[in-house]
Amino acid sequence: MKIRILARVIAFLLLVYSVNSTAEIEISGYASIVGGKVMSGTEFLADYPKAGSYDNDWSFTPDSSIGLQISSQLDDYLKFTAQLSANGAIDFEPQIDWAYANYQLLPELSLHAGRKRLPLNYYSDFFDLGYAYYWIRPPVDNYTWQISSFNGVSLIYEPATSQWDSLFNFYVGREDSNENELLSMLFDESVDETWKNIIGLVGEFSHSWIELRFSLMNSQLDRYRNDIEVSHDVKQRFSGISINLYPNNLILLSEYNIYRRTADDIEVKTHMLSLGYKYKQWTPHLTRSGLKQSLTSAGGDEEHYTNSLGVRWDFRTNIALKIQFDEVTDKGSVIQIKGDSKSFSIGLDMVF
Amino acid sequence: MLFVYPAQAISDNHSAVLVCSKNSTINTLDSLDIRRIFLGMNPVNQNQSITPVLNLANKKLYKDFLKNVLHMTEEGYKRKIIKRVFRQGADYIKETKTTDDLIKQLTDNPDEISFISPEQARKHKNIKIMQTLW
Repeated sequence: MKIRILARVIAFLLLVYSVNSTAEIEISGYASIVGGKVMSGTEFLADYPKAGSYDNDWSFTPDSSIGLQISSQLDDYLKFTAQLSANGAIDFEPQIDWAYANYQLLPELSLHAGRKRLPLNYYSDFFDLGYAYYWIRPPVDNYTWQISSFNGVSLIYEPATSQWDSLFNFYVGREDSNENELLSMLFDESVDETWKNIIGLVGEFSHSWIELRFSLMNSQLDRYRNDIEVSHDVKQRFSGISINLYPNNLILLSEYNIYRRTADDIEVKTHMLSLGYKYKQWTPHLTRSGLKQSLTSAGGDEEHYTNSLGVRWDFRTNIALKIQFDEVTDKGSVIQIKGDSKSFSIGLDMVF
Repeated sequence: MLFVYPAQAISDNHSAVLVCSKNSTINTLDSLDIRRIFLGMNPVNQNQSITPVLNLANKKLYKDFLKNVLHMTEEGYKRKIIKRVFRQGADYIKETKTTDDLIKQLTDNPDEISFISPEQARKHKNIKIMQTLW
């Protein structure tokens, strides 16, 4: 399986290069080396999409990852970008996170076609890029989605304005996930999940010390459990807002999201509030996040909260050392994820 | 105003000019396009490809450039560029660490622009001053 994926990657690179052997190729990447341990409790689910969790023994896999991004500018309008990653939570099996063509229609408007990360939450499309945020990982209660990528088309519009930087991302597509990591773990059986007819819109606005973001997504869901269809064409809707403030050295980050799947009587709300302070190379931070599912007629009651305390140390250019304590309170009875836990993580994030 | 925060005064400790190769066909740029170019976006009022180069030879000048032209802190700029690189497949903005490296970079690449003090710009005949930034 790994050899097959690597072969596809190599074939892709050769294709890109053969299209125009004079094309400039830019290579960039990131890496996270993270170790952690549950100090109290049994298990801590640190990475929902990849079902990466810590237990009472030290582990260096759930949050560790490496990513390589290769871009090739073929002419003034067309560019190929591919991002390959290997994550410890899934045995460092190489996978393609991104592989898309970028065509510049107008100076402010570009078309992306191919595979990209699904931009539901603020950190969704750079979730594994640890260097980009001060936590070990984005607050877990907000990033519990079983689907994190999609194949489709995006229109990116970045209008020229003098005061606010803005970006609009309109996207359509689908994702088929066979033996989905998260759902297969939660149901303890093979689960295939498809999100189809995905249509979404993201708006981002920033000015000086303020960042605002909204996200909307509609799609339909199909699900098979042990090859038996349990859901078909079920409509689902996601909406979210994020407000980030950076006045002087203070950092205030927040998210609020609502997910609805009306036919299944499911409504889930997630939130995150984080306070950080940048003092020279140090950024201590405190975060509260939570997920609460409205009680369903079937008794579904997923509800969990996490308090996190940590510090980031930017001791070298493009390298940061982080430590973090996480306390999880799992209030679900019918749907309990991994129970209460307290855990410690330490990690190194870098970009190149 | 929804958000009340004291606007930061433009620093008058240094002045800076926008420069490019003397052989470049790039002329003046409006402030909007300068900002877009250094954020890794395409200019809207130019028909040619323009590549930015960050001059890191003078840290104070660099920070003043970020504040006066891009209206952001060094942290905010770095955060924005990293996100563009890994979310939109953009390239890192080129950097030079010494003035000599900057002059050579611009001389060898007529499609590139950067910023420098007026005194430094006048010392080097291979580059031309496009306009004053502040």
